[in-house]
Amino acid sequence: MLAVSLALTLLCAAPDQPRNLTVLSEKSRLVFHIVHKLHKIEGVSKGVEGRARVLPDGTAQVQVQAKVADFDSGNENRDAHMKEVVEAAKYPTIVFKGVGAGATLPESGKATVTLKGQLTFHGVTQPLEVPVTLERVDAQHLDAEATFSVSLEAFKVERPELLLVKVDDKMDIELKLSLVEKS
Amino acid sequence: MRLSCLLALAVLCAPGLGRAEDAAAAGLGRDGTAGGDAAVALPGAETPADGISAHALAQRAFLSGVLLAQAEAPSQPAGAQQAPPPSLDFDLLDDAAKKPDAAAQAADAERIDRMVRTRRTMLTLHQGLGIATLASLVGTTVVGQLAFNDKYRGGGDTERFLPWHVGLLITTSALFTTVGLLGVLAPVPYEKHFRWDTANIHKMFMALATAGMVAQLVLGLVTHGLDGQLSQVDLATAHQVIGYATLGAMTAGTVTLFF
Repeated sequence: MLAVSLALTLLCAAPDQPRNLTVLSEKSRLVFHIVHKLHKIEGVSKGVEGRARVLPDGTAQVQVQAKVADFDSGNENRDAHMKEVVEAAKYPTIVFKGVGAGATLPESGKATVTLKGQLTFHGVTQPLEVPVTLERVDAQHLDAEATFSVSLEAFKVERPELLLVKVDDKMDIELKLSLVEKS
Repeated sequence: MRLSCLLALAVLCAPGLGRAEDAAAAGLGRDGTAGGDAAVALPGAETPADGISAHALAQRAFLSGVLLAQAEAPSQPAGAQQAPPPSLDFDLLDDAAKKPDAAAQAADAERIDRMVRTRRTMLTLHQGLGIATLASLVGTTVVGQLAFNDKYRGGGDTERFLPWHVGLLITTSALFTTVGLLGVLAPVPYEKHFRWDTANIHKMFMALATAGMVAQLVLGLVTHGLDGQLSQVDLATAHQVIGYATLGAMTAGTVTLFF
């Protein structure tokens, strides 16, 4: 009886391990969309870094960042102007850090987790809530997609202008991440 | 998880479970709060020297589990208090080896910031004066055509449009030179790699317009110097064609920026 109770104690006391995931930079990208009266601009950053951790209690901790200098809209002059207005030399990265409760990694198919956290861009931090769709690719890999909008003025970014007309304040951001689970 | 483990232990090791439940009921008041006549000490208050039996320990483990559940149960209706925001006190990307030298980065940022401010001022002037230059060139071309008609198309050769054409030509040349220098001399804080984008197509057309402006100045002076000679008409025609080509190149260079 004592042996059984001791075994039960050990079983109850043994902690679950957190699950760690890493973003595969070469397969991930961050896309931003900005609208000017004369253009619709789409820029891509392929240098996305990130990690996620799912704790035994189901809490997901996520941190993703991209270098502003890597953004590429297909126009060198426009990209250089964008780096100027976001002060890329002073604030080289855009970072999202968030937490999701009750997160479970899907063993197959898709699952959604809502992350509550903050986005730091141009030296300004704003709260942000992002629903993320996870899709199982294989035993070790997952894809994650998320879309959200931000206000350039909320992050104190001087809206670029062309021919004396400024771009819209709203910037849509798409995250497409490929994650690998590491033990 | 913790409560279920304690309960499991209690079931296995405490045969007198009924007595433990009665003690729990007495220990908790009618409103569910701890207290009452049969006060029960929590495990940990006794020491091994007290010689507490496994049975008594199990009973107390059961009771502490019950009290723990009571303590964790909300004392107010759900939703009356908002859950605190999730903690973001973690850094999953903390990699000291990758962190750049902060002092060097700050100095570099300050240098780039100065260049950016200068560039923004110069390119804002470039845009505004560029539009003025295009308007002035349109005027120069129109008045030039009127002067050409006046001299070579039966206008009577009154030369009434020539002073206006020369005046606009000087204004356009001054503006064009200023705008060109603002564009060429603006600092470049961030490295750029060449590709055929709208900015470089704009520069290509403006390079053609520059060649046209220089050719126009030379042709205009030479044509005016041949007044009365037969070859003047040919040179005037060349001046006219290059004038329209220059206007076309400058217009194309401006329109490119719309795409």
